[in-house]
Order: sequence, then C-alpha cells, then structure tokens
Amino acid sequence: MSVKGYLCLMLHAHLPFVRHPEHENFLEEHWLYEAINETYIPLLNVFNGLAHDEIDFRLTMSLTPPLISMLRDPLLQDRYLKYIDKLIELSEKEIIRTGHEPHYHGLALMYNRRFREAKELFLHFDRDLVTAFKMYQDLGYLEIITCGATHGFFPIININPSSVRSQVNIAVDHYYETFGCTPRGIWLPECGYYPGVDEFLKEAGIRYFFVDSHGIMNSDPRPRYSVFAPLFCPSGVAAFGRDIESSKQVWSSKEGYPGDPDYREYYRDIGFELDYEYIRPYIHPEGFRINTGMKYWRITGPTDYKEAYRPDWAQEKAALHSGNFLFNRQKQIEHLGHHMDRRPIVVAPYDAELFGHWWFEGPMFIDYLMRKTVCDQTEVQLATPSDYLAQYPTNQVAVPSQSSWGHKGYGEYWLDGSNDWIYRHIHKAGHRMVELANRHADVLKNGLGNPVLARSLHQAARELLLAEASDWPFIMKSGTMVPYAEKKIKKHIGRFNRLYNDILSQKVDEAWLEEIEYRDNIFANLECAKYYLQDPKFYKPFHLASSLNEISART
Amino acid sequence: MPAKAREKQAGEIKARTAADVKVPRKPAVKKILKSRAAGTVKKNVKKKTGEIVRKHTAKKAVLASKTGGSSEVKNSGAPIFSVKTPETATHPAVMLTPHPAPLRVAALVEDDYELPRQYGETSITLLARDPRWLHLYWEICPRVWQQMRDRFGQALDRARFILRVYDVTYVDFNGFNANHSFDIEVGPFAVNWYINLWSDNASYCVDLAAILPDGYYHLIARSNCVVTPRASTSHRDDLIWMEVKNHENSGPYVNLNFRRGRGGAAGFGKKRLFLTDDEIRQYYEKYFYLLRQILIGRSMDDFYEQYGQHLRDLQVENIDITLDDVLDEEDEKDERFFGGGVTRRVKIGASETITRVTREKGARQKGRRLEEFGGASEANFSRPEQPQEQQQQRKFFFEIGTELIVYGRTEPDARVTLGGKPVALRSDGTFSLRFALGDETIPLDFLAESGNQIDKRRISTSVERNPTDYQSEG
Repeated sequence: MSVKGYLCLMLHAHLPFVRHPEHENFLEEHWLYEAINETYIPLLNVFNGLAHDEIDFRLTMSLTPPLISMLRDPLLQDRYLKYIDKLIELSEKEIIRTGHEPHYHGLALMYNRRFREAKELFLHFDRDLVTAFKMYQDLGYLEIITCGATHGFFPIININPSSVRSQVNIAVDHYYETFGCTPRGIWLPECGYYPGVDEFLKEAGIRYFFVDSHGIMNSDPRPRYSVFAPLFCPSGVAAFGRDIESSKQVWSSKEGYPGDPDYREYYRDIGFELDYEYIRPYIHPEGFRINTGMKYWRITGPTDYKEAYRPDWAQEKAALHSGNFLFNRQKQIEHLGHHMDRRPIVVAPYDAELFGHWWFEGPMFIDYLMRKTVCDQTEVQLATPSDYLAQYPTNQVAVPSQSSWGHKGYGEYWLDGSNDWIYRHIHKAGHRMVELANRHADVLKNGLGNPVLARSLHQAARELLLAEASDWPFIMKSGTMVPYAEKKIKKHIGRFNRLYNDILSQKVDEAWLEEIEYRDNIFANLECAKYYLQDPKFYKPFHLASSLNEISART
Repeated sequence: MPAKAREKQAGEIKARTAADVKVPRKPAVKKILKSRAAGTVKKNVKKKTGEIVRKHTAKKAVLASKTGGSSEVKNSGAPIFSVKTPETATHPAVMLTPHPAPLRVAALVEDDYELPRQYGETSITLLARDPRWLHLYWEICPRVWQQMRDRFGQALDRARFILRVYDVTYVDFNGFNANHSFDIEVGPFAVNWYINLWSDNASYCVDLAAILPDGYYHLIARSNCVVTPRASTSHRDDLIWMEVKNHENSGPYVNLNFRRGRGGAAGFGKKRLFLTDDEIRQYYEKYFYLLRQILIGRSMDDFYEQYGQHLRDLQVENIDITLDDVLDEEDEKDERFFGGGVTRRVKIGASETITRVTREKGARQKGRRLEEFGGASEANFSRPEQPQEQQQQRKFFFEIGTELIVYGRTEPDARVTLGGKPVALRSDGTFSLRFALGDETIPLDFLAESGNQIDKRRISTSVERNPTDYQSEG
C-alpha cells in the first residue's frame, strides 16, 4: 500500500511567564516545575526512545518564548532542582511507608525512579531542556515553531497593530536567538486568527500557521478540501485547519481517551490525601496542601471511589487507544482520498501539557502512536506542515475567518465581564509604547543619548508584552487564582506606566529599573522597544532587517 | 477542548490554595483484586510494538513496577543520552547538587500599583468579540464634560447619552452614509457596553453621543471600525490558486480551459489566468461577488487576440463562461465595475484599500468638513467636525436639518439602479438610502432589473423641500 495521506501531530507547549525572585517559594512557579516533571521530560524520554530505536517520526511542536525563557533561566533551573530533590526525598519515604501495601509500593518505586531519571536527564542537558528539544529538531524529528512573544490574543490586542507586529517579530528573533535558525511556522496564541494577521507573519518570514476548523470552513471563498489541505491567505502564508474528529477523540473529557477508567486519576494526590504532619515538609511552606505529583489512584469511575493505579493496565490501554486513533485516521484518510485530487493532511493540535500532566499516559500514547504509524502501516505518514508545503506548493487562495480555539470558537473567553476591564489599560499602554518609541527614535536607532533611557524604553516594551499575555484574562474568566492574575496585570501595567511617566519627565530611578529588569528578565538580550518603531529596518526580525540594510547600503 | 483542560487546571489550583487543615482522609481504596487477567484484553499491539517494549527502558520500568519489583532499571544505552539510575541514590537529601550561589537577593523596592482610573482623554474603542457581540469601552475626560456643561447648561442633565451603532459594511464611512444605524441609551455613567447583533460578517462603527432635549445630536467620540467574524460558510465557491515556493508566491490565478476551432478540428488548451490586485479587490467587493463577472469584465486582451477568432468556449473551474458573455458584456464593463457614484470599501487580507470614485451628487451634507485625527487606535479615521463653530455671534441659536430615507425591496439577485447608478442590496433584497435633504429637489428614478435580465421595473418620483424661511421675531 502506498501513502494515502498525512498526519500532522502538533503539540503546543506554553506556560505564562511566572518568575518571582523576590519570593523564596512561589506557588505559581510550580506550574513550570510540574510541567517539566510530568510533560517536558517524559516527552523527551519518548523522543529518546524513538530515536534510539530508529523510528523515523515527525512531530510539530511550538515552544512559546515565555516557556523557553523560563526553561533557560538559571534561577528557575535551580529551583527546579530543589523541587525535584524534595520529591525524590518524599518518594524515598513513600517506599518505606508503603512497604506493607503492595498495590502502592510499586507505585512509590515507580515515582521514585521517574523523579531520579528526570533529575538525571535535567542535569545531562546541563539544566537547559531547550537544548534537548533543539537537538531533536536538528536531528530532523521535530519541527519547532514559534508563538506570539508573550502569547497575546491577537484578535483583541490588534487595536494597536504594532502590538501584534511586535509580538510576532520579537518571537521570531527570540526563536533565532534560541535555535539558530528562523521559524517556519507559528502557533497563533489561542489559535486566535483575524484576517490581516497573515500580513505580519509574512513580513516576519513565516510560512504557515494553524487555525481552528471553523476558521477554514468559514473562509471566503469556501475551501474545496475542507480542513484537509492548507489554504493560502492572499499574502501567501498558509493556514492549516484543525481536524475536528481527531481533536475530539483526545480532548473530550467524556468521549476522549484520557477519561478511561484505567488511566491515572489527576485529582487524587498524596499532597491532599496523606496525614498532614507526615506530608507537611513537602507541601507549601505556609502549610496549605498542594499537589506533589505522586498520585496512586486510577480514574475507576465517575464517583469519588478510586482504586489503586495499575501501570500495566494503563499501558495496555495507551497501546489500545493509539491503535484506535491510528485506525480512525486510516479510515478517515481513505475516505478523503475519494474526494480529493491530492493527499489529505489531518492536523491534530493539542496542548502539550495535556500529555503527561493531565493525561499521565499521554507521552506513552504518543510513543505508541509514532511507532505504530511508522512501523505497522503505510497509508498514513507523519508529516509537518513544512513537509506538506514542500510537496504541494500550490494551494487554494482564501481568507480564513476570524476564530480561536477557545470556548465557542471566538473571543468570548478572553473578553467578558470578568476580564474586559484590562483591555483599556493594555491598549492604552500599547498606544503609549509607540509614542515612546517614536519620541525617542534617535536613541533607539543610533544608540545615542543616555543608556539608562534606552534601557527604560526596552523595559517598558517588556512590561507591555508581559501584560498582553492571554493567560491573565483566561485565569480571570475561569474564576480561580484570579487575585494572582489581577496582580500580574496591575504589576506590569503599573511598571509600564511608571516607566512612561519617568521617561517623559526624564527621571528614571536607576536602582528600581535595574530591579525590575532583573525580575522581568524575559527577552533580556533583545532591544524590545525597537520593534515599536515605524521603520521596517528596525522592527523587522534581524535576519530580514539585515538584508534590508544591505539593500539600502547598496543603493 | 483546551479551555476545558485549562479550566481543570485552574480548578485544581484553587483546590491547592484552599488551606486545607482538615484531618486528612485516608485513601479510601480497597484492595479489590479484579479477576482480570492481562490476557483478556485483546492486544492491539502488533509484534513490532512488542519488540519495542522490550527495547525501551521506560516501558520496562513500568512493567517492573507492576510486580512491585525493584527500582533498578537496566539501561539499554540510548545513543543520544542515557538515563542511568544513580548508584548512590540511597539518600537523595544529602545529594543536593551544590548550586551556584543564589544569583542575587532581590532588593525591596516600591513596586505596588493600582491602575489609573482615567487617562484623561476622550475616546471610545470598539472590539468585535464574536459574530454576534461587540464590546465597547470609553472614557470622557473632565475637560470635555466641562465643555459640554458650558455649552448646553442645564439641558445636559436632561440629555440622553447614547451609542449610535452604524452598520458600515462595504461603506467608506463619512458619518452620513452608513447602511443603517440604531441607538442604545447607556446613560452618562457607563464606561463600557456589550452589544448583541443579529447578523455576522458586518462592519460597524459606533458614536458616543449626547442627544439634547431639543434633539440636537452632540458627538462626543467616534470609535474605530471593526468587522465581525463570519459565522457560516461563504457563498463564494470560486477556485483561485496560488503557488508559493521559497517565500515567492506566484500571485493568485484561476485555471482556464479553452477550446478553439469547431467540430473535429477543435483544439484544447489550458492556461493559468493570473489575477491582478485590482481584480482580487473587486472580487472581494460586494457588487462583484462572482469571479465570473471579473473574468468577463476583463477583456482578456492578449488571450482574446490570440484565440479570439476561434474561441468557442472557456471553462474556468466552477465557472462557465461562454463567448457570448465575453462579447456582449464587454461594453458594459466600465459601467459595471466603475459606474455609479459608489464609494467602496474593499477588504482583503490585511490590505484594506479604499477606492474612491468621483461622486457627482452624494448624500454628503454641504458645509460639513471632514477632519482627520487619530482616536483610540493607531489608524486614523474621520469624524465629522462637531458643529460648534456654526455662526455663534450670539448665544442663542436655532437650526434644523432634514433627512430623507428611501427604502424598498426586490428580489435578492436583482440589480437596482438609481439614476443609472447601482444601489447596494442587502442579502434579503432590501435596500435603503439616506439623503440629506436641503432646499432642493432630489430626483428618485429607480430601475430594477431581475437577475436573469428579463424583467425590468421603473419607479420614478422626486422629493422636494420648500424653500426655508428664516425669520427673526422679537
């Protein structure tokens, strides 16, 4: 049998920028540690196993700039090591405690081994997991794409087009700085597309992006191949649409695979279950219980009654589910073959943190899926969007419709009564940032004047970027951890406004500036304010701007 | 859904924060040994996968733990990096890797903020949340309040504060030429509003205004324009293609098949017909929603010259064009594309181009000046000058304006013209026109032509306003 179609598995790895050097132990930083422990390292383990067995897999992955910045931050790396050491210590105690409970003892041993392996791997890559992902990209297994600089929701921040443009261009430059090459694709934050954003992508040298299914289905004119082939926007940037069927199979908590009774239960953690005095050293220092990552129970059923987790059963299910997933893709592609004059591509994007963190067996599922797809059949082939565009450079032209992958498919989750109050401040700050950049264009373009002034301009841009993150309105809407999200917005907007006023009145407090430069150290190597100038020579990504300079030098 | 998963995450975080000092529950897990042999679950894993399990360390580890076995993991020696169990890992607490000294101790700085209540400017910003909801926020600065107070005095207390929502779909909006508009009363204290709409894929612009007891419309701020997302499939199904290689795109084109000669001597050919930017713009413009019309309108100069004599028919994917179309409609081309005092707004991708066509006589009110200045967004948009400067030597003033609204309906696919100029129909076939009615006669000479160009109806009338009589009494 020959190849009949392609499967593009896309993992979107993102966490908001949370870094609080001012606090010794900060609860929200655990989002990163848990994700490292449960998602990023298990995925790297899967890649390692596949590469070792010479399974020629292809996977698309987006690593957002805030996530990359945090993974490469020495302070957070240190803190992760402390975190994992604590966990190893806890698991050692658990091995002893569960000595007479065979159904838990094996699990304690499993966690102990996992934690120690995680630490080993972390140290093996010199604490920098980004280099690990880069290695798999360089080996040709992964295609890493970029995302908005701080995951701003484009359809709302586009009141200031320069805000969207800087989100794209800063992300591209940050990618170049990290991976030494230019990104071919982008994951639009929250899949938030609006007609016109593709012009900015084209300007930044990006070839493709992803939209949700209805973005393609409602495109103008109608798409001939539905979501199973990309569309070119009039700018020439390709839009790949998300496949509904494969998304539902994995995402849906009811019909989806992760809800299987044999899989591990996420909501029962020994941090909440065990005796308070016993677990006390491993929960939050202030004494409230938190997840430790050691969970001994399986989903069992819809009630509170849970039975012990059986790794062998779960593994069996993961194999079964990956087989089922692949079987469905085969049938889907076979069916599509009757309606298309080219091979279809099924695009299945997921949050990377779903795999491992929420769905403990997720990485195992991917492992099996890659192996089965590569070894067991030939109809479905793994491909990245770049592979597909190289094979099919000719595609239909249409304008996708504005859309997102959030609740109800548009902007509702990020703009409703709980969070709409932030946008007047974010838009105003975006407007002011352009004003600042233009007012001090000399400083930014020629490096003239006071270095403190230039630093404050760049820091103002960083604060604006951090305030734009879609995570804060998301948290406000979801209704939990709201005070933290509100505090973040107030902090970043407050710092921005203070910088704005200080710059205009020409009295920047250098000590304070240095302090916030240290706290909000994202994009520390980029001159962020430059991206808000109106001159393409300065706002375009380095590799494109430098060619502009050459041209102007020649003429 | 990703939202769902993140909600879960948020929920879980909440659970974590709730300081839990209750007596911890004992895990209510009973030892239930299910009579479930591993063999009863039919393995879907093929032979190959089985092999893999043997090879792959992590899998092996999981298998080992099943038997509650040792934590010793044999390593297969991965080529890229190897994960080995540290031999001395008996007491991890003392194994803490010596970290580099803490990078820096964060100094205590004044770093708490409240958001400003106002930014001291008067502006209104419009956001398209989804196909049927708009969101607006605005701010009126104290200075503007004072100005209004000075100007209107007590009357301001009885003014209605409204949002006037203009549908400006396919309109180059100048303040007076919206397709239609409606008002929402919001009162003087609101600072934001959600507006529910009945149709998707339309453009809107919103005025924040005060309507004084005497009916005077005082514009406070005008918003940016937005287009709401499309909520259903497009009615266009034309196929336009593009080739993109190495960042170079070929430009949009259609595939054209043609046949020349007659009978058995017919020859067949295939050609890519590249579309110009103008044609793409026309294509996405309301009046020319079919690619067919563009292709007919286009003289196909080179193509026609080359094959004209023998051209029998052309076939574009999804579109049939016969020679007759090309010949008959050629003359009408200019009229169809450029005729009529229509000012069009064209939107394709990000390139929003405004095509202005000379208007002989429009609905624009004389004496009004358009002024360009930026508002809440970076884009400049026009807003009409507030009629403050109109002859105010004395304090007392009095003025009236008259407007004329003409509306009608016909078949949705019909073509309606007013004095030879096309009139925009809504999708249900209705239309309305709004004129400033000065001391003049407005001829209304409508001609409707059915979609198949068989039936024609004409309705002619005119409207006239009597000369205005200005008198001063007392």
